[in-house]
Amino acid sequence: MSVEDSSPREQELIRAASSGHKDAFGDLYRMYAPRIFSIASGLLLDRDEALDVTQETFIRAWRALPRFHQGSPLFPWLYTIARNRCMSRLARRSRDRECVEFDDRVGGETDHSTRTVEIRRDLARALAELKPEHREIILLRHFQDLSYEEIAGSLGCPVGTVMSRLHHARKALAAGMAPWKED
Amino acid sequence: MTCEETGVLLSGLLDGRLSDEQAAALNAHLDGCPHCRRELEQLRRLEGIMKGLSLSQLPDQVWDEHWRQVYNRLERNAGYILAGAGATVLLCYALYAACREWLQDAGIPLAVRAGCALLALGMAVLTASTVREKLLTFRHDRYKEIQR
Ligand SMILES: [Zn+2]
Repeated sequence: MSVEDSSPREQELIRAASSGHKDAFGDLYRMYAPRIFSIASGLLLDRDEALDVTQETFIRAWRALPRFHQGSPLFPWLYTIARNRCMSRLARRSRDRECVEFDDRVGGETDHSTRTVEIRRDLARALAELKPEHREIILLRHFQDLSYEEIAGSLGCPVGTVMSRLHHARKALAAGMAPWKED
Repeated sequence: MTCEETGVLLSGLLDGRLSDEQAAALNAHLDGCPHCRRELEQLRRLEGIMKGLSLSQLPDQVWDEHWRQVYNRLERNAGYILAGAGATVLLCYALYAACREWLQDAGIPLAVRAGCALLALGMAVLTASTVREKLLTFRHDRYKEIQR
């Protein structure tokens, strides 16, 4: 199911790339690599590993592209590949990393007020403490602005599961942000 | 409706995903339940904190450089596949050349000759495939070392 239809330009690039045009694949790469990287780095809490995963994802995608279902949006499919890579790395890892990294600019402006910095640090730490599945769904919903349908497509689960997992994730995150709750 | 059932609907409410009936039932519960009202308030506050924040990104030139690395790997993979195919053809020809006389010997039953030819061909394909896999693994490992 795809609610967000793939754009004609994207479809054209996918067609060209699946018949072997690497430059068309390069354009798809520039469109999606930063998004894949940002979720992977939020999930793995490690930029170098996230870069590795991004690279592995696109190399696998290139090989699998001839089997891609033309007409569906590319992002959920790419994300499925990236997510498998991330989850297997997380499973091999003995100890969790410390925090999620945010952009310095908040709402387009750089805000260094003590309170903002503290809230951001608190959120980064609380996100890092979530279970990967919970962190993942928060990243997809709040930091990639994906709809429930797009999330369901990316995770390969029913839309109903998205709502309940999102709720548990938000609740766990709110609990981790305790000092700010009553602020 | 219990507080437990309400929980998931609170998320749906935040995201504007409730049907009219669900919204009405939730609102009725919220009117009489300060606990769930507080939970909704907390979720709204959390949403407010996350709004406007974005995950840290890399500068554009990093992606150009990164794409060049991916491009090279894709190109080399194609090279290994071609090299594997070439090796298979050469190996088959060498086997054929070595056994030609024997294969054309009418004194040996056709089934035996055909069977031996297929067996040799299969061995050649397996060898080429194994060699290719080893090459890919070797290259991959070496790449990892350079990256670290
Ligand atoms: Zn309640």
